[in-house]
Amino acid sequence: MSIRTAIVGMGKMGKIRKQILDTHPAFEVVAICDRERGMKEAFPGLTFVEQWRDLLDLRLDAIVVCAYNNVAPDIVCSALDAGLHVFCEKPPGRCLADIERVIAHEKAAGGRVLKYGFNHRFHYAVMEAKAIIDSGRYGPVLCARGTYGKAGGLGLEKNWRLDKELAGGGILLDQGIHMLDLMCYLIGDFTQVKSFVENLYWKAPLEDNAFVLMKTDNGQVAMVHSSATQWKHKFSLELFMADGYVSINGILTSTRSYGDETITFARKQFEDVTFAFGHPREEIIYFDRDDSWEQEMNEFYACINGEKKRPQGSSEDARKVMELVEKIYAAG
Amino acid sequence: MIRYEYMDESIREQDIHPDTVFEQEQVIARALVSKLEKTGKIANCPICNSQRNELLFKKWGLTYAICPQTWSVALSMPLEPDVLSEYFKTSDLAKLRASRAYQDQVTHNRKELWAHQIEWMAARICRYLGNDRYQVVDWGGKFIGWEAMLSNAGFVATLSVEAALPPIINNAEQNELADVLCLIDVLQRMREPVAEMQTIAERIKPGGLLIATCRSGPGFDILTLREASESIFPLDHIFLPSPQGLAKLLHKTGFEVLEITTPGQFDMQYIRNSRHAIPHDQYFQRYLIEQGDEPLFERIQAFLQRNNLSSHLRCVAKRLEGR
Repeated sequence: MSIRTAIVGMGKMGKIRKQILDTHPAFEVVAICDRERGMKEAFPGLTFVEQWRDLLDLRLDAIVVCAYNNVAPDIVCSALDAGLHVFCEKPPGRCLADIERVIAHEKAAGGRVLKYGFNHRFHYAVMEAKAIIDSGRYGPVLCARGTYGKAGGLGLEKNWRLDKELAGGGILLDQGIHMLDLMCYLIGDFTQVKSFVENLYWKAPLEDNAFVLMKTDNGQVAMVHSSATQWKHKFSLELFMADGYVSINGILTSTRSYGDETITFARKQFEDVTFAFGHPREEIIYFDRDDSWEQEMNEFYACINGEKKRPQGSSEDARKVMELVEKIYAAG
Repeated sequence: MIRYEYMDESIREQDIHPDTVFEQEQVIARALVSKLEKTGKIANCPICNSQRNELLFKKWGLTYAICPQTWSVALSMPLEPDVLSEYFKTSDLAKLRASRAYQDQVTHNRKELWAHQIEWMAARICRYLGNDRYQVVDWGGKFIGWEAMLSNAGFVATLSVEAALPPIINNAEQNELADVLCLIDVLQRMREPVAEMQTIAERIKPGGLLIATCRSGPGFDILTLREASESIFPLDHIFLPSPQGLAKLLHKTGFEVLEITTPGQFDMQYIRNSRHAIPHDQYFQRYLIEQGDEPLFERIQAFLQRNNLSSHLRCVAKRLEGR
């Protein structure tokens, strides 16, 4: 039996999600919603609506929300109320209150799957890093350093991504949230935060750079730089453990602008085992494929059919990262 | 797919194959091979059955052919099971290899290499199955030191040793299917790889892992040196799959390939050791060896590794459901 699915928002992410859903044997995209009427012609054969509430009158099993941050929480709450399984793009809203409201609806809906699109967890380099940490091979994580930055692009200052009403937050909420999510996923819950949240270049009301220091109750420290002035795109995540380290460089995207995706790892070596102290023997894995979108949707399906209980990017994962975002904004 | 790079300058080829013992092994192997009847015929590819196999080189009178479709290399000769059984289990060569002195030396020379290999296996098992202890089968093992080290690995709940060569004793008392089957340098002595891999597949649980290593025929040193490849000789080396050929073989026999990489460390060392045997018309390789220096050789070896062009191959595959 196919899972009758609708997509809200046929922008860049909506199109990517549709492509993935179309190749999945269990999902059937039957309807789309967009404010642009041109989308009706672009996707013939599907029910087209301009108002997302009209989707709820259709016979659906699931909804994929790729809408602006200001409306996404309302759509998610209503879809849960209507008994639908929900996949929603990150961020889960503009503020912590948004996701807390969603969680209340999720509890009331009882048993519906709600998953947020933190797709970076499904990148192979991140999966490798998680396996290394979980194996205990190099001992506990001591500290971490992450940089995620992009150039912004022409007219970013007028783009919805830096519109306070639509987005709620700048580069940190838009892209940096992935790095924050990974830090929580790989290390734990950060309770202390120090930050600078700056507008250094783009003349917009929201931040184009965030510099963050965070600490867990176990004393693990992480440093994050989220930037919209990284003129050469960059993804870098280094994790230092008691007996070794892991470094992810690059992240595969369709344009490959963040470079090849690699993970480098090594056991620490002191003078007693190597002459080249400070230059340990490293292993490097290069990843040639990004299957994160497919893997993410496979997991959404596994949760719907009961094979898996809790998705990656659960509402609780989303709540934790939004709590962190609010602390960073408050401290900056 | 993934690619992989790991340079460990502390490991030297001479330590893995110490000259004195290795020469002794080759002398006995050559004598054993000299008794075999030579056909000179070029057999079909053992993976894809292509009839377009080409002569790659002859060694000790036996023909190695390369498949233009899978780029795998195989000994072109019908080998009866009893010939292989004698070679690997009862011959003077087998007795030498089963001797205490030989095994002790191998353990001494390879313990660091094995430790790294087990660490790699642990990482792959954790990555694909989770961090736990598993039913492990070691298939075709031949080194006492390896079996001892593997049995103590953190991911092993029980270790079953099967199809072993002397002096290793099989202990496959339980018939429970394996979560993980290790096939360390065994593929290269397979006479009928498709049939043998089907047998092996039946010993693994659906969803379980096959972890294999072997020499790869189209690796840089083998294609450069051909018959002058000292590390390749009959009957130790019967089947040398390419990464593509191995993927095809695994697909045919009920596996999903998770990764195939060539982390070989020694291609450049093999070529340098046999520098005078590089065929005269291989100008690039001769130029490389004559004019290159250590840092260049290291960079080339790293390049071979990360582009799956080295002659040592390793793979992780998942046994498919219902095959």
